[in-house]
Amino acid sequence: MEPGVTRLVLIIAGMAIVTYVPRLVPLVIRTRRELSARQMRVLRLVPVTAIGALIIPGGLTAVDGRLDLSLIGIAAAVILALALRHPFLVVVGSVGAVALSLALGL
Amino acid sequence: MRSARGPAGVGFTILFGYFFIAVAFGAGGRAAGLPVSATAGFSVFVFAGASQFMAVSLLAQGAGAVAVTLATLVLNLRHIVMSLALRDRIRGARVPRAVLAFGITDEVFAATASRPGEIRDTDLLVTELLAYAGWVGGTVVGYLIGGILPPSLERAMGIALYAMFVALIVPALRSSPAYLAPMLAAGILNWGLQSLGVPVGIALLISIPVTAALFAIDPRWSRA
Repeated sequence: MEPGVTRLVLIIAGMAIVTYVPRLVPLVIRTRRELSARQMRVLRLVPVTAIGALIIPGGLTAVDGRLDLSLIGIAAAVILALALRHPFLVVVGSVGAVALSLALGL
Repeated sequence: MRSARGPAGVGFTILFGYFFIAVAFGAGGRAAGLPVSATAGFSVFVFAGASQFMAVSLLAQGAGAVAVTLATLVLNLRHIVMSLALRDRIRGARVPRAVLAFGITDEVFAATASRPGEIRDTDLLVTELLAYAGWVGGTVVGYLIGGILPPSLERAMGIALYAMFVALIVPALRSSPAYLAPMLAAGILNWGLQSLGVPVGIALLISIPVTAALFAIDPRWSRA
C-alpha cells in the first residue's frame, strides 16, 4: 500500500457522506404542511437563481482564471444554446471555441 | 426548460454533457498524481462535479482530509434546497427515496424541476442513472486519455461545466424571459459576497435561496 491511500479513502468517504446527507434528509423527512403559493414560487425560482450563482462569478474565471477566454466560452455557449436544441453540442462548441482561441495564441 | 423529451431524452442530454466534463475531471485527477482508483472513487461515491474539482485542487495544494470534507459540505449544502423542491413533486413508490437522493445533482435538478407537473420516481431514476453513467464513464476515460490530450484542449475543458449550465438555462429564459432578473441578481449577490471574502460554498448557500425568496414576493418573476 502506497502512502496517502488511507488519506484518500478518508477524504472520499467524508465527501460522500457530507454530499449525500443534504440530498437525502429533505427528501425523506415527512411534513403534513402544505406549501403556500409564495413558497412554491420560491422553489420554482431556486433552479434559476442556482444557475445564476453558479455561473457568476465562477464561470467568468473557468479557463485558467482568465476573463477573456472564459467569456468567449460562455458567449459561444449562449449563441449555440439559442441556435441549437441539443445541450451536448453547446458544451462541445463552447469548449471548441475556447480551444481554438488558445490555439490561435490568445 | 419545458421540453417534449421524456426522462431518457433528458438523461442522455445530461449523460453527454457529464461525460465531457468528467473527462476533464479524470484528466485532472491524473495530472494531480492521483491513482485511477481514487479518481474514479470520487465520481462513484460522491457524484458532485464542482466539489470534486475543488477537492482535487485542494489535494494538489496539500490540504488535509478534514479541510477537504468541510469545504465539500459547505459547497454541497445547496442540494438541501433542491431535494426540498423535489420532495412534494415526486410520485410513485417503486424507487426508494434514499436511492433517488443520491442522484440529485445541479443538472438533474434543473432539468427535472423545470418541467411542469408531477415527477414519476421511475422517470427520475432513469434520468439519474444516465447522468451517473456519463459521469463515472467520463471520469475513467478522462484518466486513461489524460496523458495524450493536447494541452490547449485540456485547458479549454474548464469551461465545459459552465457551458452546460448555459445550455440548461437558455431554453427556460426563452419561454420565461422574466427569469433573467432573478438569475442575474443571484449571480451578482454571489459575486459580491465572494468579493467580501465569504467562502464560495457559503456564498452559494446564501445567494441562491435569498434571491429566490426576494423574487417570489411578486408573482411576475416566476410566471411559467
